This record gives sequence, structure tokens and C-alpha cells, in this order.
Amino acid sequence: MEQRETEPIKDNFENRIEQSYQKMSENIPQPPPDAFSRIMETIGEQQEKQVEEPQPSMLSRVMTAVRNIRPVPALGWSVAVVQFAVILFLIFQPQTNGTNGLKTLSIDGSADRSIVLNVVFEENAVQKDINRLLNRVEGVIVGGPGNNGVYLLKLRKGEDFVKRLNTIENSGVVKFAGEKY
Amino acid sequence: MNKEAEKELEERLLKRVAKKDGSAFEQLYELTSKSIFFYLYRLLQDRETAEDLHMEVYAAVWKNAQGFKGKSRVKTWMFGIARNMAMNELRKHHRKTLRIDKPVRDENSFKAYKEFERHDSIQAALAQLSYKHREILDLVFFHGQSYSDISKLLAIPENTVKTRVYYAKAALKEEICKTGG
Repeated sequence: MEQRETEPIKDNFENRIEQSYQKMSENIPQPPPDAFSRIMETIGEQQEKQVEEPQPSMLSRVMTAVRNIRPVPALGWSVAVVQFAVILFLIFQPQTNGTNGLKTLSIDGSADRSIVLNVVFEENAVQKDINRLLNRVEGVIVGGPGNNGVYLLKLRKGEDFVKRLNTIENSGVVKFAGEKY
Repeated sequence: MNKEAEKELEERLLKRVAKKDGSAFEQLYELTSKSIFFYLYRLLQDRETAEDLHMEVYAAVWKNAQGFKGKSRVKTWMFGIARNMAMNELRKHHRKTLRIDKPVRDENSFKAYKEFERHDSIQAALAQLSYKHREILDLVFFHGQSYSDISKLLAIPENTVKTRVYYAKAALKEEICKTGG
């Protein structure tokens, strides 16, 4: 219906063309008689190949895609422009705290939030007692034992730091505890 | 069989092909193979390449039947697959020897068809047209495709289809006048 509305009524010339095509249809070349069986063979071969060849992994597909990227000058220039824009942004971004925008551990006190102690445990101290002490003082062994049996104990530095230090010293399982410098 | 019934049959068959029904595939092949082969042959003007691509088109139909979204007629969708393959082939050859707008003569083409082409003034004139003009006239007058289907197949607006048909007919008239038909 739509076709009739959009397509014009055929004129004499179009009728001539159509007649010529009708005559042509009697003479058109045919696909080879064995074409269908060959198609089925091709399909069968393709299916066999698919079974034989495992699907490439995501990583290898990504690697192939990267390898296939052609060195296009426009791409190179685009990367250069983006890099330049990032550099400009880093240079001219708003400065904070009078620190030239550079953030170091000392600015927000991150470096001061914990302290590392050198600790030597009593010879007769048992694992169970040591663990209990570590839980009480919220400490973590981060190194050791060294040559003299020195362990590195990391403690959170808070208001109760001195109290926890005293707990360590008076625990009975620690022979020595001192700040590591 | 009228166009509407044919369209419905094609759709029913393709749905079954999507479920890998071999007999439906064979029926679809019987129904469409001549058109597809001839479409390829007219685009490529080379029998062997048309035969090769004809097989590839059906292998692609078998493989991608599930991907048919029903936006166009099944046959139009198949013409689309054939067209993509033919264009790729022509581009490949174009880099070497062929000119897309004026395909070279094929010595191996079917004799009967060539004889007819020589003796029918319209067909002789059609052979002189650019592939774009010949293709659109083939689609309208031989394959009976609607403007809307051609628009989807060639990925151009329907108005452009109408304009192209108009200019193709004008070019054909001119060629006929030249040959004195």
C-alpha cells in the first residue's frame, strides 16, 4: 500500500524497461547446480574450525586490537594535545593551603598518625600473651626479629598513646620498648 | 506467489534457519538464490567471483540468521549482505585494476546472457551505465524492491532513491539514444 503511494505510476519508458527485464529473467545466469551442497560444506568446515579453535581470551583480543592500531598521525597529535592539557591543568590548578598544590605526608599529619617502636620481648614470653598485649594496645608487628631479637611494633598515635606505651612496658612480656628513630 | 506471501514465507524460513533448521535453509536458498546470484553477478560482472561470494552470502545467512531484526524484508537483508561483500571485493580489485563505476568486461560470463544483453537495446544501454545506476534500476525493475527497502539496503534516504532512479532512467535514455535503440 505504502509502496503505491510513494512510487509513481509507470510510464511507457518504464514499461519498456520492465519488459526488457522480464525477457532478461529468461536468460539470467544461474548459480552452479552444486552450489547448495558446497555452501553446506563450507558451513560444516566453518563449524568444525570453531570447535577446533578455542575462543581467544579477552587479554589476547585486547592485545590483537592494540596491535592492529595503525600509526595514524591524527592519533599521535591527539595524545600529545591531551598530555599538554593535563600538564597545563597540573600547573595552573587552584593552589590550596599555601602549599603550591603539592600534597605531602606532613601536611595532613598522615606521617604522625603512627609510631614505630623497637621492642624486645622477654625470653619466656609466650605467643598467646604477646597477642593479647598487641590487641590491648592496638599494635602490629611490622618487622623483626633482628639480630638482637628486636621487633618493630607499629602503634597508632592518639591521645592514649602514652597510656598504651605504659601498658607495653608494664605488661611483663616486654623486656625493652623504645621509639625507633 | 504474491510479494506479501513471499515476504512472509521468507520470514518464516529465516526464523527456522536461526534455529539451524537445514531444510528451511534449503527452501530459503531455493527461493532466493537466483536473485542473490544475479544481483552479485550484475554488481561484479564476473562469474567466478559472483559464485564465490554467493556461497559466502549463504554461509553468512546461516551464521547470522539470529541477528535479523525484521527492519526490512528478509531478501533485502540478504541483498545487504551480498552488497557489502561485493563492495569489499570491488574495493580490493579497484586498488589493483578495476574501476567500480565502469566494470570491466568478463570473458567468462555466460554466453546466452551476454548474447541477450547485446541484442536487447535496453540491456545493451544498461551495461554502459555506472554501477550505481544499473544497480538501482535492477533493484526496482528486476528484483521488485520497494523504494523503502532500497533506502534501507543502500542506507540512503528514500528521496535519494527516487532521485537516483530518475537520473538512472535519464542516463539509460541517453545511452539508448546513443546506440540508436
